Amino acid sequence: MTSWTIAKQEFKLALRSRWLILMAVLFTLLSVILLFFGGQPVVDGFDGFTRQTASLLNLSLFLMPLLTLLVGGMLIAGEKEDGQLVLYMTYPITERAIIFGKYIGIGLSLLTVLFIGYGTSTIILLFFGTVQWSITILFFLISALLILLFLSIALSIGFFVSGRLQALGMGLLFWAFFVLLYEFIVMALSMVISAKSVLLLLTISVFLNPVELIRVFTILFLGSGTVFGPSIYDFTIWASSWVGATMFGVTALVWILCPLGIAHWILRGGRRI
Amino acid sequence: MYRKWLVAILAVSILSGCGKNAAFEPVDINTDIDVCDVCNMSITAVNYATEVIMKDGSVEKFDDIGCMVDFMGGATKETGALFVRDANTGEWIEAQKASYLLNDDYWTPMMYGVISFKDDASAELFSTDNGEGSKLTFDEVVEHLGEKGSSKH
Amino acid sequence: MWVFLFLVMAFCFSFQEPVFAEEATPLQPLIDGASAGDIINLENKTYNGPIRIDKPLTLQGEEGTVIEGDRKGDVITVEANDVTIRSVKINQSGLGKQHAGIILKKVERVTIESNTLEQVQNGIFVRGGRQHTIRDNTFSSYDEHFAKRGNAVHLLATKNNVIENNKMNHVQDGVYLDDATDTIIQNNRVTDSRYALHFMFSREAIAQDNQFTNNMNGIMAMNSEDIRIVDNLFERNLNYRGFGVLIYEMKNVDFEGNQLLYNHTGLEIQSSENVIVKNNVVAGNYIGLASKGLNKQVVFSGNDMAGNIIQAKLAGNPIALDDGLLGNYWDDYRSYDLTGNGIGEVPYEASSSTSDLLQSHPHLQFYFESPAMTIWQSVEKMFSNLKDAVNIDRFPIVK
Repeated sequence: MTSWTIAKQEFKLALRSRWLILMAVLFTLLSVILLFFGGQPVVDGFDGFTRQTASLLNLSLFLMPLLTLLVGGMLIAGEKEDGQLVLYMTYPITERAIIFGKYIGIGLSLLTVLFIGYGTSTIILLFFGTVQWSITILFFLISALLILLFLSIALSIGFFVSGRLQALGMGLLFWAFFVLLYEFIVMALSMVISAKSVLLLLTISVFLNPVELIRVFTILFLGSGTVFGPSIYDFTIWASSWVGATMFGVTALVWILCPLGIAHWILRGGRRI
Repeated sequence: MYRKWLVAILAVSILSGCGKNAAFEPVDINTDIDVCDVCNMSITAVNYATEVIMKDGSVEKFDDIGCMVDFMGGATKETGALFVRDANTGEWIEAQKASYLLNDDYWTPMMYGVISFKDDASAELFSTDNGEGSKLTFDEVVEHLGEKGSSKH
Repeated sequence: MWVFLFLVMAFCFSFQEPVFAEEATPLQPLIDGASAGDIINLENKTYNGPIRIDKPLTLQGEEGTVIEGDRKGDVITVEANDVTIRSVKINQSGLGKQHAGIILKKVERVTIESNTLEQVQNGIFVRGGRQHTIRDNTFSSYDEHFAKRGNAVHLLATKNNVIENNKMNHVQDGVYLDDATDTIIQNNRVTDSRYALHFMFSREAIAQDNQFTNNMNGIMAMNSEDIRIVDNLFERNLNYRGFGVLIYEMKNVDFEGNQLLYNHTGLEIQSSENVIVKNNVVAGNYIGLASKGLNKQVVFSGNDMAGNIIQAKLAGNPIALDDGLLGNYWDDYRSYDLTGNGIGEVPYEASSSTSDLLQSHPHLQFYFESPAMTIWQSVEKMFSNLKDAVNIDRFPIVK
């Protein structure tokens, strides 16, 4: 028995879950509305940071972490409640394989849902003849990355909590922190510390939150770093270089592996089964 | 858990401590992005640029001494230091220690006609090439430009 | 092998310059030998500058005619009225001080048309005088940062000039008007420069049908009056401090029928008086309209505000967003026109609550339209009282 078996099992289970279907419908609906109503390009052929990009980016930044944290956390917590997890533990398989299996399985099912959501809205919009492929693909990739980053956090939540309700609460708490509170906290901090250290603070803050990581680097990859204004110039130049791009990759990887490591630690300690 | 908080608090205090006790240093002009904080002009004649460093570490940059004087008239934050540059070499000098030449025919970015130098020798070098100007101290510059500024607007 | 190739190449390059120098013909003797009113036809070759023209003459070039400077000063100095320079390529002015390809010194009625000016600090420097025509030329400066380049056309203390159908790129400012009176600037294209048009202490100018793309600012208008800016296109001025148009300490500006597309800030009006902004398209900008400082009699009406990420960032004292009868079209206006007169019954509130905050903490621009910022803005909009709002359009257009 390997990670792959677990992943397949998880994939099947997840696709049967009502949560995922609900989210798929919700997400399709929202992306259609936004792509259609907010997305009429003013003048053709401009591929920088526009109103459409901004609203789609925000939709992804709000929704993808929420969806992932809730579904991921509750699936694991649910298996715990049902005794499924204890059953797994009796099999000849390492904790690491279980965690990777879960990660891959739930990850794949969420990506499938995402693909269905984007696919459906693209097909719907094709009837109106207004599909901007570059934007659609870009946002599919951003959402996918958000799912992968937040899924590992969701798993460690799932392994930590004792039941579905707790998973829900903690998922919401983490979501509120990463998506909303974090920015307010950094903003407030940046207003009280000395002006000299602001750039350093903002730079560090980007890497300590996956939401910020994706938000900032999406805009940079679009070549629209100037939107951040002249006071962030040094950061923009640095982050747009290959050093910045490498930092982005490494940080994303760390954000996937670290929470999985924590999950492993929890599972191995057996404290929370 | 409390160790994490300790680290956070430490980080914040280091961050906020950074600029506080350090002496005020002039900041380089970046011609890509720096514009005068008063008149919005991008700073291209870098040797005529001036700076005010605020006590909180923020920097206000100007393209002309006249704009700096204009800004000081309505400054709301506490200022730490004022810097001007030697027009010949671009060296930063504290505004109070610099020598100044005034001649309304001198070209300066906003046509205030006041140019700064590190010492009298440098000023003389300039006036042999560009015509004589009257020598001023910084206080006289402020007085002169203050009047000019209020009549201009 | 590579060493050999390198040697061959070095050999070739070392001979290139003397070959050109041999071909070049001094031009000054030709001019000194001509009499007033003559047409000097230049051939398909390189002539040596710098030259001085001190009588009315026409310099007529053909394909391949080059007048080359010595990289020390101005290339062509015009000191006589009624001179025409046509169809030549002018290059190699000095770099560092205010040198130019062509300098007009207190003269009248000079025509400069269909020339190419490149590798010059300033293209044409007009010092004093009046009634010049600068038409159909192509300009570019040295390959330096814009801070070190000069302007394509620099007008200083001059009157009644026409500048039309020129192409200017990689210069500092396209047309710089310093103490210029009665200038017509039309059908020019300026790209990849600092300011396409730069007004300073000038008056009575009209800029129309120009295209300004990819500069820091399309127009930088300062301390000038009686300026008409109509039917121009300002596009992709996306620098960190990029503006389609920045109007600062101006008086009597007529800004009509322009298109401001995809700029960092479309139009900013700061500390100005009597500015009429009418029937423009302001679309796809990061910030559509911005205002700052003490503005008097600014009226913004009949404009199309669409697809701007932030429609308006209004600080300082309020400006009129309607003319008393008609407002603007705002694509984020959510209300209905019940009376069917094309005007919404509920006023549109244009101020963004973050304007003042960004003013005092510019680094917060980092959170431009971020999730938290968006939430904050909508919450504040929800609780804001329209009656207290200062920046409202009372007659928003409904389409």
